[in-house]
Amino acid sequence: MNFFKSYIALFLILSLWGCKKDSAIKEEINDPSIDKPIDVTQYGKVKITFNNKAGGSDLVLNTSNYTNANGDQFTVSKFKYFISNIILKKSDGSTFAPKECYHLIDNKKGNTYTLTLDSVPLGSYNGMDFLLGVDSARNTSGAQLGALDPSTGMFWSWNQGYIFLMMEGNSPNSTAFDNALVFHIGGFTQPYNCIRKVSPSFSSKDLIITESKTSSMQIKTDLLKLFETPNLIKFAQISEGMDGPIGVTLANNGVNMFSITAIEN
Amino acid sequence: MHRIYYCIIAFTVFSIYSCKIDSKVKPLVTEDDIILTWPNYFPAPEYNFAENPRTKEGFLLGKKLFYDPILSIDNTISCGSCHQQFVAFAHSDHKLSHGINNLLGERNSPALYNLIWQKEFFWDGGSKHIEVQPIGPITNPVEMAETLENVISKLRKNAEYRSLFKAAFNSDSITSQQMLKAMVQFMGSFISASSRYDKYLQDPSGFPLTSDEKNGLTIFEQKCSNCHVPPLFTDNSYRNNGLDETFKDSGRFRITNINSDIGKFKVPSLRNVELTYPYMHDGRFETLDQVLNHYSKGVKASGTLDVSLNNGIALTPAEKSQLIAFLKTLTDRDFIKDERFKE
Repeated sequence: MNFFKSYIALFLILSLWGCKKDSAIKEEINDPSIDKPIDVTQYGKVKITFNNKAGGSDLVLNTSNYTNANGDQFTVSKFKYFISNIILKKSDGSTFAPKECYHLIDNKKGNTYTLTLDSVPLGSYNGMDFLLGVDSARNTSGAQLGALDPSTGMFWSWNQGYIFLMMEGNSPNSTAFDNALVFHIGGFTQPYNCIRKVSPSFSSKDLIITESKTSSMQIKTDLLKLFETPNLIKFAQISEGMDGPIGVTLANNGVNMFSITAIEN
Repeated sequence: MHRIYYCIIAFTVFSIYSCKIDSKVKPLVTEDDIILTWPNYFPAPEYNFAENPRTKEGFLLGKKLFYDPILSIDNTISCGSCHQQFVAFAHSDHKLSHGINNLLGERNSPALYNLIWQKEFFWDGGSKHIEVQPIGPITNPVEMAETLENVISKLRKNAEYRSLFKAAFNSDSITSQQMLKAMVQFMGSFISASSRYDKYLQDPSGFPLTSDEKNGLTIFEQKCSNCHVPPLFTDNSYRNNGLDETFKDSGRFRITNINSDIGKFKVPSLRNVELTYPYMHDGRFETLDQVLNHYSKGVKASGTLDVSLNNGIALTPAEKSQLIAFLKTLTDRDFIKDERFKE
């Protein structure tokens, strides 16, 4: 009897194993008749808007005068920057990272920029990360399209890689030719890596993704903070900067430009 | 059974479609002509075209772009202006090259070959990928002084280019990505591996070296191959080879901002070195004799001088002439006469 039981058990195991092997082979030849596992995750959308500001006012190119934390007056002729690799985080530690997440925000096209994340798994999110800049891999991956198309002018031709943030303008305090301010921040290798991860706080409320309604989030990008903390920038001393030490100084400030001002679920 | 029908339909559609492409451009090369080969003693290339499949249409488009001054702001300078095939795509007899409006460049125009084995480009390594390398000379104010945006706009307005891009990429739009990939399909095909040295390696009795050349090879292996590593004759590193005590051009430092890189430049390949004069990043030496005299008695000390050159390289006059005899075996006549690359 024991022998009989063992025989049945062995037979069952072999049969199951046989099935498994069969299905593996079928998957290899990509037979569409094989059912793929049903995805039970449900998805929703969120619109994220970046609002370029100088302190409390909307950032206006060329015509408006601003004052930095050091008291230097200045105008802005160009303000553009890359946001990439957005990650939304739930309190249980799970995350959502959209694929191909590269955005070039150019104030010339308006002081707000809205991007939509589709297929966000439903639920409540209480944190986010994104990069100010472009990850090092994409700096060295050859000719790119879309936001990363090098013909947008945000690509250095001599020390090749993306300009993560570009701010140009004028200040009477600048000692450069024409009182110019020229900050082109980029570079992705140590010790002067200027890519920065930004993790703005969700202190007010969670972002809740539902099927029925597209949620929205407002992020303020305050240009004045670029010259404020932790490194107070005096235009009389620093009016130009690219890769290298000044780039790092400004990138360390750049992290503090971003804050979440509103979430609507 | 249905599958067979699908296959037949797909094949028919594809055949008709292929014919359509063929009728638009008259290829000067066949598919066979663009097959890349290299000796088995070469390492695996850094760039393998996996994301940029080579086609004859892509190759021909890249070739047209390479020789077309449309890439420069005033339509006067092409890539081929400063990269000439008869000197292995270096700039013959030019220390520095003239860009638009006769503006003089800062560095000696490098030879172009075996580029798919290079990870970084320019004398300072400022370009980190073969596909975006052309953006350097196209936008440099003293070279072609154009913007990439404007180049694309000019190409889009040009009916011939619209049809060449369509043939190469089967799309109605022209993008900077397509332009750059086509250029790599052409320039990446420059493989120089048919020198007398290569023939000797592959068949020593059929293609023997003279005794001077053999002695030169021995000297080379003892005194030069530490940096100019065969078979590519470079280790792709950046070194200060003692040209100066202070540096007008800080070289690799421009890219890294690291003090220990001041005065360092890329170790160039020595294949075709007989043809690619003048030498060094600023073209200061006109002959191989001058170069060897520099290494034997002209090396100048500075904080970043390569340790292997602290005492220079001891070379007798006889050794120098044998070394030069060997270096001339690295000249690849097949490459510089290759019809596929001709303007």
